[in-house]
Amino acid sequence: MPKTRKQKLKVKDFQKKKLKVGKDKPKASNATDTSFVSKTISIRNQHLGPETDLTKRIQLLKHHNSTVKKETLQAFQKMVPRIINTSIMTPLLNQCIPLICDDSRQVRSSLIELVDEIGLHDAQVLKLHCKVFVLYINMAMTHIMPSIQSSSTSFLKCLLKHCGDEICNQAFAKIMLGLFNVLGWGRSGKNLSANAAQNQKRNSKQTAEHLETLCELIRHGCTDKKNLQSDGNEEIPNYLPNQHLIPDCPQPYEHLKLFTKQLKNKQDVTSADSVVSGFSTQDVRARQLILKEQFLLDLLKHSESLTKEGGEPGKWANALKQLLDSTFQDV
Amino acid sequence: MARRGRAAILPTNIILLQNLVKRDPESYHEEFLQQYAHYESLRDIFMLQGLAGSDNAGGAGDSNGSSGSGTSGSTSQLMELIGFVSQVCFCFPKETANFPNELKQLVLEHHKSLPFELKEKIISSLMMLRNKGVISAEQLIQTMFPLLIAYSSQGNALTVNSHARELRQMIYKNLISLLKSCNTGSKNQKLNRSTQAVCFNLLEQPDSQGIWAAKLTRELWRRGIWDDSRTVEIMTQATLHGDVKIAISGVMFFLDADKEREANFEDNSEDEDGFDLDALKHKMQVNKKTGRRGKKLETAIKTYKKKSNGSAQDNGFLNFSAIHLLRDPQGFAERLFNQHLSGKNNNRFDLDQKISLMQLISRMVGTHKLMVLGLYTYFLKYLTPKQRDVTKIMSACAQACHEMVPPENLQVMVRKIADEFVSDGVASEVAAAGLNTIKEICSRAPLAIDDTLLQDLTEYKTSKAKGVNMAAKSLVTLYREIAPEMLKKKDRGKTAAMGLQEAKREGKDLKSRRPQFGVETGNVEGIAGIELLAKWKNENGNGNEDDEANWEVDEEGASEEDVEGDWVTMDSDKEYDVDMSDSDKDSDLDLSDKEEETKLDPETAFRELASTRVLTPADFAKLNELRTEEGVAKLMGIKKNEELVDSTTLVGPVKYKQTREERIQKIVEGREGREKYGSRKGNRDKAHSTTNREKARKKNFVMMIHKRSVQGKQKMSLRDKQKVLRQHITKQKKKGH
Repeated sequence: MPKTRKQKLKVKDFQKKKLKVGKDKPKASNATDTSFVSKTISIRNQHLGPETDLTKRIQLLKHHNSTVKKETLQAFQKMVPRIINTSIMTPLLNQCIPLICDDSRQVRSSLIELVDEIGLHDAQVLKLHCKVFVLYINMAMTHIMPSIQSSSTSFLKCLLKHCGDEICNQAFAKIMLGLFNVLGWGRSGKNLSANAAQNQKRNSKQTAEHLETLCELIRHGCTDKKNLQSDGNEEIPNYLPNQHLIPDCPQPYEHLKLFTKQLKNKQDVTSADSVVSGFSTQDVRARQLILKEQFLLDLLKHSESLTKEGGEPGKWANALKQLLDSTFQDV
Repeated sequence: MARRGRAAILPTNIILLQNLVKRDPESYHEEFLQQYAHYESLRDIFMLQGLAGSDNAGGAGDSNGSSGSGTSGSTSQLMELIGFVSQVCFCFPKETANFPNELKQLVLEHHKSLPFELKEKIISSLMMLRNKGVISAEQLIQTMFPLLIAYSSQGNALTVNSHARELRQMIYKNLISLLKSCNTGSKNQKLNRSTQAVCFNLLEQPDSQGIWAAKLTRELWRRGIWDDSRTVEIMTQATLHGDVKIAISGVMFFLDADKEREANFEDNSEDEDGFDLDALKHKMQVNKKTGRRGKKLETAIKTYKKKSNGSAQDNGFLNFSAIHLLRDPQGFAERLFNQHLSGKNNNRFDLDQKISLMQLISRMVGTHKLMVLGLYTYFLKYLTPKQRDVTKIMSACAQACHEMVPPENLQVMVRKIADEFVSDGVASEVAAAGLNTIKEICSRAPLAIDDTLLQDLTEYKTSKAKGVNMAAKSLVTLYREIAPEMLKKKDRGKTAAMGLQEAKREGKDLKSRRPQFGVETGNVEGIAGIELLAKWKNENGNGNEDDEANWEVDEEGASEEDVEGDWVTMDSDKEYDVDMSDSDKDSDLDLSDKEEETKLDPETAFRELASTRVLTPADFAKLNELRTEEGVAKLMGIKKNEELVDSTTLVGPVKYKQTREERIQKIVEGREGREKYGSRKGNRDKAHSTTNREKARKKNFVMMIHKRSVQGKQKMSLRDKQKVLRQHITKQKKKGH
């Protein structure tokens, strides 16, 4: 047994403290006091005021969440009348256009609405960005996801409504090729692609939509209203003084590709399709020629077979056939 | 699972499609075309946005930033598609004929604006296309080199987000692996030549791009992929380049690359046996050669055999060192010395680099016996004890000497070393270094020292310092062999003194035996080691020369043939001059003549053997055996001129007094892994119960005292007691305790 005071103290350290009901647990010897006294406490709060700077909203178009993207698009759609003539439109469209290939259907449909809204207010804005639109629509047409592919035509339809001439001028042949791809019509005369074969059976509604767009495209591209009215002067290409006048279209020498950046290709090895997409489609006559030489046979064949199947697609195929007939009767 | 139609497994991602296309290219042709079109449109978008954004970078900062980050999604898509197309490219060669070309253009012309990941992807895709045989290796190299150069220049490396370092490393690695894969099996000479031409072109430009040529060449040399004289020529050009970095990389190549290559191909197992060849060598150099060192000789034989076995295995490359493959060593050494060391430009190099240059030049001079006379006076400036790294310079000095250099040039250098290093006032290490250097110089060029200086220096053999007296003694040993009359009388040694006396008695001119300038020694012509064979033939008679069996390669039979060869066919047109010399020897049994007879000159031996008969495979087998013996002798201290002078051994053994800590550390090291000393009596090896003997030992003494075995001892007679004691002692001795 410990006897001296010192020894007792030593033993005390190692004895267990008894806990009692209704009393606090005794504090440990090394407990630290964390309380403090302060005059004011400032908490940094989230800034919840209304956002005025729209450029910051544009960033949301890259948000990973599709709902956020959709809501942002809708918000911009509401604001279109206010901002249509401001400098924000270019960055906005630059950010919007890649969403053509977005995975979510909602985002794409709200983007269509936005584009439509813009076109209603000022078609010139769309015209300015036509080139980028064409590239992205083209990309969507060859996309591996079927849903993106099929929705690409509705973008095209919307654009054709507002600035059809510009699109036909720039990339008529390219878009024709893309549409053939979407419809699953093989140009090489071989088998249909597996993707398209499946789509055709399932989704006649979409096929109808594609066909409608195709009709629209051909109507915009190959029927010349001026020419129809003042029919009869077919010697215009041979009329020499015309060369020295200022041309009607803004960029008559674009097909020379003097100012575009492109990779050089060896011409002899390129496949037929890429040659076709490289044709200049500046005027109506050229487009008609391309249509006649490259696509007409396939178009007629496919539309005929679709007409036989009937239904919604059959109706549009018939319309297409009539359109083609009327167009090439004139020429 | 039930069988499904093709349409049922529609691919929804690229990887899946890639798998399907690879398995059945024809069925998925349309899908492939669609994806190829997708790739094209993506590429166009990229060209429009990514490139336009970077061109007018300053103009629209805000839009540029947003578009740059906006394309990141499409960049990853484009990367994915590039990977896809290059994977399945070989299935559709017609459709994708343009694809490799496009990739090349993209990466070569627009590399400034492409993001790093895309560049990386394009380069690896190109590499893959090469592996699949879509593009040739030459095409790939033509793409890689410009990129490598573009990214090593300052301008590109500094732009934001260029990842120049990573790209360089990747391209460099790809280049190496490309050349390696092209050169496995047989060498692809066409590719090698074109790549070497690119390297030459790089080195011709005055800027620092050539470093890549030097680096690549060195790496390929290390791996044994390039091993010809063109490669060495590239490095010569690099060494003579104006840029310091390139020049030094060239110098380092010549100094180290061969060692590196050897190390690369050597297995690590050799490190395991702790045979210190260098130490043995050193002892043999310094000490007198006596017959006592049989054991060491045996080990030397073993190692020699091991080494010769190791070198016999084919490494797949020409095993010449770079210095030997030089096309114009004299011109190269002169230009190197004039441009880099003695010219105005020498200030560009720092001391270490200068030393490397000195080492290289002197090594070349020593190996090829070149004449670069300015070198010796150049060394004089650096030969002072306080010079940093002076031992390296001294070893370079020694290396640069050979017997074709006029002795006047060397004497100046030796005099300087003797004055600066070897005097009473300097530390013992310094004196030892000086003496060792002089010894190395003299072993290469015996005329580099005159009698008086030599005799002065040999006085140091009585020095108290071990290093100094060893060095002085080694000098004495050297001159006993080369020119004993230059030494003092008491230093000459028994055999040499006897030889001199003999010569004097016969009235020969002493001077004629001394080494003379301009007479080449030790130059082996003809078949290496043939003098050994001739000697052996002389000793063993010449009976079996025309034996047909000798033509069969039979290594074991070689010894038996000595006995068998009884029958000799004597050709009328052959002369057997060996017999003649035998009869000559009988006439006079002079000591000196006998010595000459045993030291057959290789040249005469070659003439003697090779002109009279055709050597048979058996002869060659014997030759090999004899050469092994000679190789051993070489290990024992005979030097060739090409051997390197190791700067660390020049100082000699230095012994400092150890501190207490060092001593204790050494003691503890010795204890490691050994059992404690002392009796092992109590320790049991295996667990077992107590033996009867152990039990008996523990028994109470009082119980035992009346036993006969105990009482008997006391009652024993004195003689018996003595007997027992004797027995006990011998027993204990046999036990070893």
